[in-house]
Amino acid sequence: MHVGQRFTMIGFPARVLTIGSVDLTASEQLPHEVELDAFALGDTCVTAADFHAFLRDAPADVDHAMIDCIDPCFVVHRADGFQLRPGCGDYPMIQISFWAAAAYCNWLSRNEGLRAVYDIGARSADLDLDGYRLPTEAEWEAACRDGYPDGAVVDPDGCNSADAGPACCKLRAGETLAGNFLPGHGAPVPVASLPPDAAGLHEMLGNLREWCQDRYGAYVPGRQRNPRGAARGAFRVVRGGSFIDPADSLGPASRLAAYEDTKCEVYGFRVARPR
Amino acid sequence: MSADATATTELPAFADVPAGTLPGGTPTGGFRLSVVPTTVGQYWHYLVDQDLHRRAAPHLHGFPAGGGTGLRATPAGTVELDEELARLPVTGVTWVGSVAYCEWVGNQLGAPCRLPTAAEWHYAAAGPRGLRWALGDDFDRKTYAPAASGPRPVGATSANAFGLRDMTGNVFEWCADPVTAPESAGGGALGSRVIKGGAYTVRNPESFENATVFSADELSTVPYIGFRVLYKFRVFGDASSD
Repeated sequence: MHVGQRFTMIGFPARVLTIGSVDLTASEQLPHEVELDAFALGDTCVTAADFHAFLRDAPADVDHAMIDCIDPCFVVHRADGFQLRPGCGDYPMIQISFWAAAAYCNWLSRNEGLRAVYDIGARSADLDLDGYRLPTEAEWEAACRDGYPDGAVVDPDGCNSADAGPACCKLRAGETLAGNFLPGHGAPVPVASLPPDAAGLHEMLGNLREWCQDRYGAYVPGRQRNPRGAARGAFRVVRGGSFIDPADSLGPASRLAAYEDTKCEVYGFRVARPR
Repeated sequence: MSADATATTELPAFADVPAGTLPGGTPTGGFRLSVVPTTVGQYWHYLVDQDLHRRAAPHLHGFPAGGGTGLRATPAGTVELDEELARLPVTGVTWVGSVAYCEWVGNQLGAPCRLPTAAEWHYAAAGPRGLRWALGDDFDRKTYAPAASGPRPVGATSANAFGLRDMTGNVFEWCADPVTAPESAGGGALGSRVIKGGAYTVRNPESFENATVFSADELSTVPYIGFRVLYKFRVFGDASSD
């Protein structure tokens, strides 16, 4: 584990499960069986402090097309490089593209003597290597189903959705003007500031939409083993919904797409690894 | 004046923006605004004139060591010019550095110069017809925001009705306005300033609209924020001159 890193990895066993839902939108159709190898997933999203440590250590690994430093943001860029804004370290990193998240995964891998999964310049990934990577959406869904056996958010104060309760809203960045988020508006809450789900994961539903590995596409019918998404395309799956998404749209099966170069305050990520 | 000529003069060239009513309802007596964002060549001329190229000045600017945007930081902290990139809009200049440059231009011209306010910028960009983007009410991605990994030379787009180029797209532009907390949160300054116009780093058409307001840390040095200079001519009897 890299010094100072906020998250810990939680192991999930191999399994066969049904991915998708008939109760949501066309995008979650059709439910299908998936066979998954064991994997590990971060218990929280990568924090601004975690990401800042990477930016300071390896500034050449990220260019300004991969990270946005305009308000609201937890990390700014001044003459002496990337700076963590005061009071922002525990919030999840935002305003980073899919490829910035991938670059962070590679840095973690290098630090721990693992083989880097991503070739950032070539925009390719080799998921058969042992390094850190983004979770596949099937892995993400399996972990979230473990965490939410009933499939939905119950306590509005336990989930930072657009319908978050007052206790949750008090934790939002805007209440302390962190990152120049403003009071009374939607904003992220610090990682692990809300109770863990049944699998020990924090803020899987709500807070930030999380970058997943898969290119976005319609589900392929039939049983699959370790699915990795569409073969082509510039859109990636994002999972879990965010502080701008209604609570009733959040669940283990719900999926959205995001253009992979998008940098926005509603997207963050957590890391995964083979187990 | 052609776009080429405006980019290579030592000082910015200005277009007249006539008197009228700013968005928000405040009258303006009119002003001059630089035709294109301040270029690398113009900023270099200022650095040399002020002997600022021989030392680091992190409150004013920060340039990448690897170059690519026209000005480069050396390991010794000095600044070097990549001559062939002199027509790029200067980036890596903080809000504070932009204000300092405007003051220097004012001293050269013998007339007060400063950054435009967000309202002045919006008024100038929207032109007499109050357009949504600088050149029309439709977002033309090929004109304003072709795919790019860095800034393109100034003068890439045609002039609006006031003679201003490149208001929409390429690089955001610093405006004078501070960002403050709401009264309920103390109303204090948040250390950020307004930026307008969109940049090659953003994608949604709404991000480029003349009315849209973003902001950034006022000591930001990034390759997607530039600025232009407002030159306030004094009109006899115009009480609104500042």
